[in-house]
Amino acid sequence: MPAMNLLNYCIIVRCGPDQQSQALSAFEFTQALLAQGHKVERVFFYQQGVLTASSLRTPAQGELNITKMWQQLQFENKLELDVCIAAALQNGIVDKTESERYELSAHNLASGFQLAGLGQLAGATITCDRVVTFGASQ
Amino acid sequence: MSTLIVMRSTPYGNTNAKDALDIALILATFEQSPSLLYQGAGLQQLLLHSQHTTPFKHIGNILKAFPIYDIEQIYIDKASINEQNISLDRLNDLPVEYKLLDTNQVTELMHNHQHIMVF
Repeated sequence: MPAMNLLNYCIIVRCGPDQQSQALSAFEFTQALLAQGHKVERVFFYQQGVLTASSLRTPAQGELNITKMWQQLQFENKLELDVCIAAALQNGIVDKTESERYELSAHNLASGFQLAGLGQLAGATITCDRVVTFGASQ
Repeated sequence: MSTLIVMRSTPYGNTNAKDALDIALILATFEQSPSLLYQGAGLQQLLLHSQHTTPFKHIGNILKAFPIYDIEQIYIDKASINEQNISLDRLNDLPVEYKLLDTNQVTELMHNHQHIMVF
């Protein structure tokens, strides 16, 4: 087998967890990259994608829990799962710090995910060989 | 060349236009001088004097900030102008200079960028 050129990737997830096949494609693509030894510098959840990071999601029995799948992948690979903070606040995804800042009644950012600014995405376009988007709505 | 952002959505139908502009502005802040290509329904974002009856912030205010951010690579897909039935003089008020590209030039533009994000 010829030596493979290992690259540094950034994955952007723009679809919500309910857009099942697109959400799953993003996950499986990331999983495959890691399995082949590529670097995934970060996964950036933007737009509806931030809903993936809610710890309160409770899919019906027998259905995929994409949030848990990302958490597992993050745990196994020390993956960075960045959730756009502006989109997160807009969609009701907050961590403890933001919950206190805005005096909200609860916080729900799933463990393994972290809130991040768009600057993280801008940085990734500089350092990554490939930026791959999933779930772009038209 | 770094990142090309392709604008294909109407200004207020969903958050795509605003979300794409947010990325453009942050890339410019990182001195990455992004290029913007307006295609299809995305051209409606450039009609600065559109009747603005929606409760949303007028997208044109962000366009006016382009020169401050040194966002200067603005491209418009020539074929989309006819498709969207927009007369060129409606683009006279744009606060930035733009280049009209035919289909081959659009292809070339995409080849010349490392990253492409479509909104």
